[in-house]
Amino acid sequence: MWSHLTRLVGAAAMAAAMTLPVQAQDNAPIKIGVPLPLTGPLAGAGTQLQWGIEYAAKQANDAGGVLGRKLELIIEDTKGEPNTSATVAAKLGGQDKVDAVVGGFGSTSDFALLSAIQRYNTIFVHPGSSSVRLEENFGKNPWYFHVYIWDYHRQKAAVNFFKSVPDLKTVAIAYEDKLYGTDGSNFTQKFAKEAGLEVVMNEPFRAGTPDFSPILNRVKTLDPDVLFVIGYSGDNLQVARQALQLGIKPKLIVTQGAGEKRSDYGDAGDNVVVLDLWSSKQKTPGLAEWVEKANIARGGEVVSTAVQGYTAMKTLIDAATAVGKWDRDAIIAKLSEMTFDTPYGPVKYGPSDLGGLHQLITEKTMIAVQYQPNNEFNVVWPADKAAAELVYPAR
Amino acid sequence: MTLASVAQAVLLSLTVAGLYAAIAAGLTLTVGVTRIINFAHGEFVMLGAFLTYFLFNQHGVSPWIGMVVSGVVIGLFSALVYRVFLARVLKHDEHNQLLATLGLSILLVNIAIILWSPDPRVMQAPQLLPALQLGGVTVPGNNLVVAGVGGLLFLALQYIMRHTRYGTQMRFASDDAELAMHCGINVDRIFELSFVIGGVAAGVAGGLVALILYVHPVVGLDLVIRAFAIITLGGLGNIPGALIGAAILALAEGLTSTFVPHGGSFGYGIAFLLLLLVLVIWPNGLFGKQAHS
Repeated sequence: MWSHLTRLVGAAAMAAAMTLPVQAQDNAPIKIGVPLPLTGPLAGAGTQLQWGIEYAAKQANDAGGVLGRKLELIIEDTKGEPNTSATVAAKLGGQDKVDAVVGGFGSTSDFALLSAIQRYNTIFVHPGSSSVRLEENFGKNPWYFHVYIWDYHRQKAAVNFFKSVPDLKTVAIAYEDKLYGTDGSNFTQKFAKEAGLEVVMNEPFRAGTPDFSPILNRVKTLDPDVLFVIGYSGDNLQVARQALQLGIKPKLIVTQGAGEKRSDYGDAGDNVVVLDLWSSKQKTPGLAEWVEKANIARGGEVVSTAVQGYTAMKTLIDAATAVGKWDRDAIIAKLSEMTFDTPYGPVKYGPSDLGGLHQLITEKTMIAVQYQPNNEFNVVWPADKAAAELVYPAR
Repeated sequence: MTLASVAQAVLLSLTVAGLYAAIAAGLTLTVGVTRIINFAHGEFVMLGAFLTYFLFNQHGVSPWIGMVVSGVVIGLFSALVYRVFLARVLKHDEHNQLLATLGLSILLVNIAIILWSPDPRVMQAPQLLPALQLGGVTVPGNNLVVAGVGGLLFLALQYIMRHTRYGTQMRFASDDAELAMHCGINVDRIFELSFVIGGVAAGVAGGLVALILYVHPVVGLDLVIRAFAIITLGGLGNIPGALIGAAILALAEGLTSTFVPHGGSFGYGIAFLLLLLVLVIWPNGLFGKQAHS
């Protein structure tokens, strides 16, 4: 009898031991790889994205985790360098064996990141980078989900905004002469032509140039209905400042938001319009409460880039929760079909112009913010998100 | 093309030349005397720009005073860099010096990014001088300050080099360090002095950057490339050459950008094409020593 009992206990112990790993796996954290440029020139945006991703994960973990499992973020610094990005991808996919990746910022380094990580077929939710080369090369993969706009979305939004201004017929473009600005200029010209707008100037400049007076003097002569600047944040600031100092007052200066803040402009920013993805002042249901909580958690003002990171993470969490278990294929299907409640409003992944399967933010999400005196600003376009009327002409 | 548009382009280009000259004058002094190709000179400018910016934005210190403080602080920092870092490297191969200053440049940029973020910042300083209005031509007051301070810096360096004992020793040590040493000159100390003076000039130039440009961790990179072009154009170690080189570069950039369609893109290239042409004809630059001999 004892031997029978011993065998029974032994068998029970073995069975228990065999089920332990399964239970442990069931309760094991969900590992999310977060590759971002945290040092180097792209670190500013990288750290903002990191905050947004961590904030969404913390909210989920504080509420008991996702599917009863904690989210474990494995954060890696890509430095914005292709070589480092490829190494990081191999570590996340091969060594850490992450369940999904939420990260990436900087088109060149992300090309290397995605090239290296695609062999693992991991779900990849991409909050940053806008080069259409990424869309063309990776956008058709079922596991790839892109949150941020592609290059042409900005230009579509810009032209849509121009069309919304009565009497705006002529556009002068000043663009930085590398890939970012040149693509932006080409797309703007294309969409402007389709919209019946006349491009009266299309002048390149070198990013970081100390003197924009050649461009501003041409604008003074041509007197276009709008001066559209496609540059980096420092260039945008310098154009507005020099226009003020030289006494050159275009009817309207429009820039593409590149991370600069209202306070950076000072008086030179009065009436400048910035095309952006998101503003804490846009009219979106439930946004005010979200901003209030997020600002407290952030210990300061939450900026657009942080919202990109938050949204990327939140869409993954919401899709996994909706599926009810961590099933890669089912989560991909859910990500593809669900509508997500985000700080941008309700959005869903859908096809994009150059073959991408899953694109979240488009020109329809974008807004125009006009800076006002005394460091104020307001959303002025589109009408359903606007909190104030556009001041035009602005001189 | 009208007379006013030409005058506007020329005058603004000359004020930009003041900024370039301020950066290049300190660099040419350092290179000319010590033979150290200091890639970190642009980062000394960047640190001066941040210092002037913070003094104004956080403590309300006038940019005039900010520039002087930046000059002094970056001068002291240069002394520190020279003593603990470059003095040792100087004794070794020239390639080590190049790599050392390049490494220092990268280090300083990354420290600045960690401390202050990569975001550009604008010093919302008032115009320190009234704008110059001549018919349809406007030159903002702060551009006049840049031209004036750039000119003063040039005169000060010229005075030091031509009319002081230390200047004579610097020129002597630059011509033949070994002979200077045999004549009782403390060459190491003279090298340090020239490096510190270059640092002071970089600090003041940083203040000028804050005044008319914007401040961010990589602001020095592009400017130092121009500065190297300018000192090559003017002749290594030649301070008046740096001033003339700065004027040539700024005018080539400014006039091309203003009067040639799409010139904003290749104005910079035109300036460097000019540099190449000059070097083909005068390999030591316009005012290089061997060209004279």
